[in-house]
Formats: sequence, structure tokens, C-alpha cells
Amino acid sequence: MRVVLADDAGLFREALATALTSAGIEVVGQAGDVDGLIELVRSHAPDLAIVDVRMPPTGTTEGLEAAARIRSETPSVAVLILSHVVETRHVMQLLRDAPEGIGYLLKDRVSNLAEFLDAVRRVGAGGSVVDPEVVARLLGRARPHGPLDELTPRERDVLALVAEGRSNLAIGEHLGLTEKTIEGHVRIILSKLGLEPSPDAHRRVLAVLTYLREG
Amino acid sequence: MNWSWPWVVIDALPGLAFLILGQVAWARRPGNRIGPLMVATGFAWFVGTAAVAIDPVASAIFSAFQGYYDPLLAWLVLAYPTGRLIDRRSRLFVGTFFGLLLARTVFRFAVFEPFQSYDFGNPADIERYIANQTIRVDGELAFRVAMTVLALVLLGLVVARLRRETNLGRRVAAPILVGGLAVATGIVVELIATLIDARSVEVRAFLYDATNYITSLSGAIVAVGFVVGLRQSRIARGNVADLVLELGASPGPAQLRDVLARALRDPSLEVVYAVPERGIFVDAAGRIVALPEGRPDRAVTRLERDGQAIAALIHEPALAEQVELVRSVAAATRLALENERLQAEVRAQLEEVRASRARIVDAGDAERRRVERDLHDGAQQRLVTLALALQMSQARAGGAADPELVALLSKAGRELDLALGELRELARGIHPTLLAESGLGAAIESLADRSPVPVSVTVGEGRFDAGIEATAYFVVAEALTNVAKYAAASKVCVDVERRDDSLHVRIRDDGAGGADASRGSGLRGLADRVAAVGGVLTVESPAGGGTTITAEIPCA
Repeated sequence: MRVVLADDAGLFREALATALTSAGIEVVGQAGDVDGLIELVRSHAPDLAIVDVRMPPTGTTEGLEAAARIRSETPSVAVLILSHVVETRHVMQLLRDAPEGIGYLLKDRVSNLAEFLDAVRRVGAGGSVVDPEVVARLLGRARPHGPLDELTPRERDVLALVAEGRSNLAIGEHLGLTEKTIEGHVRIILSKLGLEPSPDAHRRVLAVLTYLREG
Repeated sequence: MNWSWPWVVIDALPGLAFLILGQVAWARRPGNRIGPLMVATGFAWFVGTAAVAIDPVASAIFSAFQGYYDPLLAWLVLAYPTGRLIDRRSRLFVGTFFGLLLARTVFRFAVFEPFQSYDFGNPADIERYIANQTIRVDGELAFRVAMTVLALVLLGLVVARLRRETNLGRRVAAPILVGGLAVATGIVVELIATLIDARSVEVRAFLYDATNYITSLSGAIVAVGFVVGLRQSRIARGNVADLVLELGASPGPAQLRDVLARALRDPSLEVVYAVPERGIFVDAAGRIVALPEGRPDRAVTRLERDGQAIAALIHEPALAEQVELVRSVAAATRLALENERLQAEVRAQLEEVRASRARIVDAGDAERRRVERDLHDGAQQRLVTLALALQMSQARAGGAADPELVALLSKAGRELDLALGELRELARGIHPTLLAESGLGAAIESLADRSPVPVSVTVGEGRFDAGIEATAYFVVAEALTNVAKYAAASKVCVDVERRDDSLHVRIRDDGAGGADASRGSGLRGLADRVAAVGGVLTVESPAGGGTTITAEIPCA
């Protein structure tokens, strides 16, 4: 897999490039700002761009705008956003605009390299990835009594993993269950929540997150 | 000239009128230059009368000094009623007029017969005499023309002044106009008489007589008009006593201004108050006012006590000519002014305190934002980079045979994870990143996400000043914390909406109520914070009836 990195903190960028390279992921370019990133994406046509939310000049949400541009100009390039805060609004926006090949992770996730590399590979392969803490925040939200309370603890675990963008097979591996069992859980969960079952994994993520955020 | 008795009386009239009435005016208003000017005008008049003296030398001398009555009268007209020529134009005019007369005096000394000696037996002297006569006639004509021009300029100045100073009052304006006309008519008619000199002796005699009658009578009328007009401003001064009664014991600031405006007949009058220790002037509301000094359309009269400014009146420039009136009105209302000044000073201090409080809050916010950014850009970046390095080390060590090292590294990794999480929460508590990045909606939703009590959030679109957004955010944050701690509520509604020029923030729960804004530092601090940006915080919390906290924050 070929990736480009964009982060204005050079030290972190270098460290991340080293980690990715030693995991067999080819880093074809690094940029410190949005223009450099767009340039790299155009010239190298990578599989994935890993982009920090905060970049010059204002250091606020330049990364998100860059992601939107990349997804609309070169839809074949997946984008993994690294954020410094747990926040749900931007995630929803990203997923709505580009329901596949998009990821939103807390920057801190790099402290578990195996999980981080897994996320990089999933997004690079066109999957959707949502940070577990963002999902936990949504799932843990105080809300009036409703369908979520009908879920068993196991079903809640499965729901969280679905919302993180994992496939049934991956969820099964994670929980030590078979893919078939997970399929069954997912069907029951969706029907309890009143959601349409969808064969499209990305639509499933979006539907579940929307439910959690607005339900 | 016709030296009949009535003529002698008529000729003496203006001179006497100016002399006598000038003395009266001088005695009544010693500080005003109109009195002495009138007396001088009277003397100047009699110089003209003396020019008809029998003795040729005396007659010639008086003739040389004849005509200063005109510039003096012009001076009076332009300087009335204060006696001061206020604008450069009129000073220039009066100066030019005197200059012209002085030139004529010199000219007359040079060419008049008694100052020349001729030997009429000598043909050269006869030649010289004839040449001198020609120069004399031409010169006199030239002076007449020049004076006529000045007379027309004077009329222009008078009309311009009356148009500009519409509030002089008829009795003050009348002598100015009549005086101006008298000077001008006299000079113009004299020029006409000179020009038709050769044509008809009778017409010329008639015109000279007519001129003399007009000048004499109008001069006398003007003298009376000046004194009556001066009385007019005395009457206005008399009204000052009534002012004090009208003001009563303690007038409001608007009333004080209105009464002064009426007494001074200037509806545009403004009263401003001195704040001596800061060297500034403020209006009744305490706002700083710059005195319009050097502006042609406004004038300033400073009012002082013991050499220290207490107030200033900003008024029409015309009033500047009535300095005495303005000062006496101000003196009569001094107590009220002083009282008002103290109040304005307090208001100004309050305004200053309010502004400095808002600045302190702003500075605090800015500092919090800076610390938050520093944490994210500095410590967080470094810790994340460190975590990566640790991961790499772990991966390497994984192959080594030292299980203790692997365990140590993974323990360090977990600690680092916790540190990162704590750092993120710390930064968020100092200042929410989302607020600056994405506005109130996103930031309040994020608060709602964390609330243990279900929250429904309605936030209108639009961004506001950082200080306003931060205030609204902290109100919601503190209110939600209180709901979680004390209210035992089952749900909370947060509404943020812009209405006209203010941002309405309302947090309503269905909990136990009974919250008291005056107790507990949380609500008290919130009220202070809202007040610092000029807003109002209200808390409604009947026991058992839920709590509604409303903040209205101006955001114009």
C-alpha cells in the first residue's frame, strides 16, 4: 500500500513514516500543509492520505477541508483523519460526504501500533473507520429510555464494533465468535433499533452512527 | 453746505448720540468694547463737522482726518454685540478700511493747499498748482471708488453674518443691518454725487444734502439701536434668575441641558462634564466626548471654578459672541452643573470599570486558548511521538528473549495512554478546542454528549465574537454540571438563539428546582461572567418546579 502523510509536526510525521515503513507500508510523500498534501496526492496518486486535522495557517480544521477536497477531486484516494479531540459532528460530516475509504481516529491511537496499522489498512482498502472513543461517547450518551436499553451487553459490544466500521468477520475475530453468529447478532440489533439491514458495510456504519447521534 | 439751524441740529445728532449713548453703554457694560467704540465713533463724527471750519489750515487738517467715522461704524456693526471681531474676515476688513482712510489722510496732507506754498507770479508754480489740482480730483475719486467697494463688501459681510447667526434676535440684528446700510448708502451716494459733479450743480447739491441727512439720521438711529440691543442681552441675563427656580432642587441631566438650551436660545446646545484627574470630558452618561475645538460649526465655552474646569458647553458659534450671557447662565446653574458633573464622573468611572472587567475576561479567555493550543501543539505532539517510538521499541524487543523488558515496555505504553487521555481532558477543560474551531453548536453538542442527564440541544447557526461564544459556552457547561450534581432531572433542554442584538441562552431542566443564584459560587461566578460582557443572567428555580437559567448576552 502507498500512503502520503500530512502533519505540520515534523517529528511526529517522521516517526509515523518510520513506523509505517517498518510495517511494510510504503510512504511515498510527506507534507506540512494542505497545499503540499494536495500536490502529493495529485502527483503520486496514493492509496491513502493520512491527514492531521490541525494544519497551517489557522491550525483549526484545515485537515478536514483538505480531506473533503481529496475525496471530491480524487475519489480513489482514501483519507484517514487524525484528530486531537473526541468529537462527533465532524465524523458524521465526513462519513456523509464520503461513506467509504474514510477514517477518523484520535491521534493517540498510534500508541497501539497494531490497532493503528489495522485501521490504516482497512481505510486504505476502502473501508470506514471510526475511533472507538468516538463510538463509546455516542453509545454512552445519556438518553431517555429507548430501544438501546433493549440490547444485551453482548449486542452492545457488537453494535460498538459495527459503528467502528468493522466487518462481521473482524468482529467475530475480535470477540472470539464465528462470522455467522455475528451476522445473527447484527440482524437482531438492527431490527431492535428499527434500522434497515444493509449489505453495504459503509451504509451500515452511517446508519448506526446516525441512530446513536440523533436517536 | 446749508448751515440752517435744523441742519446744525441734525448734523450734531449722530455725533451726540454716539458720544452720550456710548458713555451709557460703557458705564453699564464696562467689559464690553461697544461703549468705547461708540464714543470713538462720536468723536470721529465731529471731526467731519469741524472740517467746515473757517480757518483754512484748521479746515484742511480736519479734512485730512475726516471720514474715520465710516470704518469705526463698520467695526461696530461687525463686532456687535460683544465688541470683538470674531472672524478673520471681519478683522481684515476693518483693518483694510482704516488703512484706506490712513492713506487718504496722507494723500490729503500731500496735496491740500494750505500745506503747499505757491507763488502765483511764477508760471512754474501755476503749472504745479494745476497739476496738483488734477492729482487731487483724481485721487479723491479713486478713494471714493475704493471706499464704495469696501461699502459693498461690508453689506456682504453683514448679510452673511445675519444669515449665519439666525438666533441673534431681531433687536440685536436690526442695528447691525441698519448700521451697515447707513455706512454703505452714504458712501455710494457720495460716489454718485462726485461722478455727476459736472452735470448739474443743483442735482449735486441735492444729493449731498440727501446723503448728509441719511447718514446723520441713520447714524443716530443706529446709536440708539446699539444701546437697546445691548439691553436685550441684559434682559436675557435677567432671565438667569428664573433659570435657577426652573431647575429646582436637583434637575436631571436632560432637564439641565434643556433649560440651558432654552436660556441660551440654542437648541443644539450640549453639556459635557470635566473629569479633571483624567483630563477628559464626558457626557451625562459617562461616555468620553472630544471637544469640537477648531471647528467652524461648533464653539466651546469652558466653565471653571477655582481655575479648574468643571464643564464645557458646546454650542453654535454665534453664542460665542455672547460670552457674558453664557457665563452668567453657567454661573447661575453652577450647583446643578457641579452636581451633574460628579454624577457624570461616577458614570464615567463605572463605564471604565465595566470596560476593564470585559478586558480582563477577554484576556483570561485569550490566555486559556493559548494554553490549550500550547498543550495540543507541544506536550500532546511530543507524547504521541513518544508513544510511537515506544511502540517501535516494543516491536523490536518482542523478538528479544527478555520477557521482563517486554512487560516493562507495555506497562510504559499503558501509562502513556492514560497520560494522553488526561492531557486531552485537561486541555478541553481549559478551553474547548471545538468552540473556536466549529462554534457554539458543535461545542455544546459535545457537552451534551458527556452529560449524564439526557440533553436536547437547539443551537441556531452563526458565529459570534470569541468572548461572547466563550461566555455562552461556560454558562451551558456550568448549568449542565449543576443539573448533573443537584437537580435530579430526567432531561435538560438547551436553547441558544439570536434575537435582535442579543444571544439568548436557556438551560431548562425538569429537576428538583430550589437553586439560589446568590448562594454557591458556581451560579454567582456565571452571573459575573455574563455581566462582564454586558449581559444578564436570570435563574428561575421554584422548589419542585425545575430550574431555568437564562443568559441574555448582547452581541450587536
